[in-house]
Amino acid sequence: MLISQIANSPELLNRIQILGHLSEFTKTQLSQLVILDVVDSTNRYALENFQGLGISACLAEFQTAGRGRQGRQWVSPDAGGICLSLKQTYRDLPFPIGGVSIASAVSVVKVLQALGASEVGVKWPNDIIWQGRKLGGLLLESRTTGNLWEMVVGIGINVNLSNDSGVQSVALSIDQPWVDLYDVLGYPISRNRLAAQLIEQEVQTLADYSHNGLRAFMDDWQQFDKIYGQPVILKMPSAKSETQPEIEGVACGIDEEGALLLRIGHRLERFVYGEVSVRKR
Amino acid sequence: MDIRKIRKLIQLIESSGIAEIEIHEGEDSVRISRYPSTTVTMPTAPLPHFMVPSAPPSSPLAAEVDTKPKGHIIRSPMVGTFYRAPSPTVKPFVEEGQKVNEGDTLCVIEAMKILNQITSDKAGTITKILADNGAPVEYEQPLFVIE
Repeated sequence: MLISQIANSPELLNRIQILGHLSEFTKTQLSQLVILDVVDSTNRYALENFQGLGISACLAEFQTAGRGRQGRQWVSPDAGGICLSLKQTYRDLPFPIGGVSIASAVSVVKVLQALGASEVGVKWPNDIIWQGRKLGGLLLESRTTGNLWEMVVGIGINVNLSNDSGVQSVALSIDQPWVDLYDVLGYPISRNRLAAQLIEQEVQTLADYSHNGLRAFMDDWQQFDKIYGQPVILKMPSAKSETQPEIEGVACGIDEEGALLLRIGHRLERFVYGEVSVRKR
Repeated sequence: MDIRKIRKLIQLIESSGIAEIEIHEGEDSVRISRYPSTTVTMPTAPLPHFMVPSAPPSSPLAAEVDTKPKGHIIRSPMVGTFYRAPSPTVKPFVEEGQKVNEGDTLCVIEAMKILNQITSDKAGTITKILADNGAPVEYEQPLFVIE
């Protein structure tokens, strides 16, 4: 292999390096940390393979069936992003699970801003946005078995989608405006360090949420909310895809359960589903 | 809404003295009137109900149509979007007539980008699937009948 090829090859995920970046507290909270080369979906892996109470995490270099909402694909080239899933099993969660979606989005933005990506924000419920382009997203999965509530938080971040010649086709297949961290920051960052910081923050977030709900996250959300005060369209689900109803309103943040608040005429309504986009003026 | 239900509604209204009836079921609604200009309007695309649980149909006619099926009913534990399969390209978790065990996943309900797997709390045969794939569902809305 030529030296230039080695220099250009992406940094691979390394368990020892990631553990080295974690605090002692997080290491005691984390039951397992698994690095996979290829997996269909880290969320599915986490949901099916991690047992017992506590938090476990898995990362993959490549997902063959990464998922987004409504069965959409989450596309990320080999070693070009972060595909991270954390699983927590609760005996009892005294707060609505929907809030985990919001709290986790806040924690991802905090990590990215701390890295220097100061303009990164959120679009309800948990798209990670930079200048109107998608930098990352979360997809959560939950399941109850007996008295236990299993929750998986899946985090996808575009780190460097163009670090080899084969990925342009992957990047082109993404169906919306996107950006990667390399473009946002202007310099490359260590995926191992980023993975560790995301795990560190999310472990803390899951603990905070199960004790206090969304209370501690509301101020950050308000600060990170990229659609606040803007006229938006909320596309609602429908069994018939050709007749998806649309609702127009002005985004007014979230309520204490994380539901989207829209001002429609003189009324304020809350929504827990639907796909929101900023209306073009 | 099932066309057979609508036909039954028309028969019912014809055999009664009622001039007009309007029924909402999930996101669908149907209005049947005796006046010739507006015989059957469908769908009228009402605004979905979101978090507010929809009021049960108060009309006695609707009650007759909505006869409760026998068997164990699995209800939605939340407001969200009902999906019968983990993704549009794979086969549904369950079909009518299929046997299920306690703990088997029956569907996914998505809200706030959380895919919540809804599991069966009873072993038996799925005799009826009451919600359409991709449709919004309300809290406590019946989803499956298991016998």
